[in-house]
Amino acid sequence: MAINVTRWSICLLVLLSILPSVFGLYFYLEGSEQKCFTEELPKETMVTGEYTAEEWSEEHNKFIHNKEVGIEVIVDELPSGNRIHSQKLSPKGQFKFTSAESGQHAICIFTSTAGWFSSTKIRLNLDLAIRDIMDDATEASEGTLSELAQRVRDLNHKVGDIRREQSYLRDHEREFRDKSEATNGHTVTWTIVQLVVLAITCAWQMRHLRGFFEARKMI
Amino acid sequence: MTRARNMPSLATTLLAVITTTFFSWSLLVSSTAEATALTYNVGAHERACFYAWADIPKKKLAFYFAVQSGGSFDIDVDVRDPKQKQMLSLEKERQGDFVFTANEIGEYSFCFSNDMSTFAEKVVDFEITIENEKRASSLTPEEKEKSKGPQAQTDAMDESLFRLSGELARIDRMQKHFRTRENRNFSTVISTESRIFWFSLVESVLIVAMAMVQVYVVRTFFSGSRRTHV
Repeated sequence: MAINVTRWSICLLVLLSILPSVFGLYFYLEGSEQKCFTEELPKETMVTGEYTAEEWSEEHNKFIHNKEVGIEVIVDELPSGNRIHSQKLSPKGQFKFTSAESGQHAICIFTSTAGWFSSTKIRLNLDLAIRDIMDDATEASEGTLSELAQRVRDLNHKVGDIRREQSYLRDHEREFRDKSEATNGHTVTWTIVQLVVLAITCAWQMRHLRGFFEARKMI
Repeated sequence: MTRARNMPSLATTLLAVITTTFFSWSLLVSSTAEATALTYNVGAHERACFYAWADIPKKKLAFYFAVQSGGSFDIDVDVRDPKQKQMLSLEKERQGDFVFTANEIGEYSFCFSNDMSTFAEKVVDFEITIENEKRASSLTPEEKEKSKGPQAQTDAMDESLFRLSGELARIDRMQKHFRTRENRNFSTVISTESRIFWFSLVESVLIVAMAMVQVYVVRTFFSGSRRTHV
């Protein structure tokens, strides 16, 4: 009985030691590998990213929180390639940036401490929120929210997401329609160009052959 | 939501049934969920993996993905449980919406692989949600105290907030579906534009070339055999 208890507690300890510190989505970065995510952002929108980075330690044989690890975040505007945000951060925390223009943005995360041939393996938990979560923090500091209030706030955020998606779709659809109409216009243009080329070629051919036959005195 | 999808095969209807039963069942039970939605650019011949941790069994993992752009808008997907057993394996799928019950404790991996493309990068929009199940009447005594008002009202509000949450999630899914289709339409229009231009150009060149060939042939008829009748 005592052996079973100790066996179970050992198993539990081993399990707990490999647990990530924050549940949610995570991925691995090897050495100086960079992982980039694209987001379609409207103009002047604040984006907050919360992350936790753990480094694989050979001696402990598990992922540990290492204060020496540096995480770097860079945000580029995709069509123009402008870098709108670049920040070196500690292993656990959050980063915020505000988009200047509406469009595709690439958010890239990598370790800044690892060299080219370093073999450090980093586990990175990431949560991106396209809103200012300072609002949540100030609300929470006013006193513990009841569960219902919390849910209403989540619903508000969801509605915000839906509205943002709608306005993106509306702009994109406008672009799509312009493009469709332009293509339609081009069909006519290129056909006319083709007809003109055909007419010119025909005329040239007739003229050339007539000249040829007249030279041979057959006409 | 399920009818609007344009996926072929029997597997689709099965998955649709699973998803609808999940949604209808979830209305009965209060639950909170952690969802992370990201858009990742999978390069050619790249295999990108994302992981979720299930700390207690019987948690539900919801996995949604849709290829937004690139090539023929398809990607290979591989989902494995902590024992490396394959839970889901798809080849050349455009989009999918699945719910898994996490029976094991551990790390679940969701991998996208773009081996079929020589140079096309695929942009994949995916969302992984971990459902934490909680019974409907599991409000702690303190929370019950704080929710001023009679208990019946709170329960009714709880219920309606829950439905709202479910409905909003459906609207969100529908929007994502439309966004994917819209991206595809846009890509078709760009392709049409480019085809019109190139084919017109090629045709014009061919017309000119053919005219020249004809003239040359006619000349050879008459210059080779001058004395004989043509």
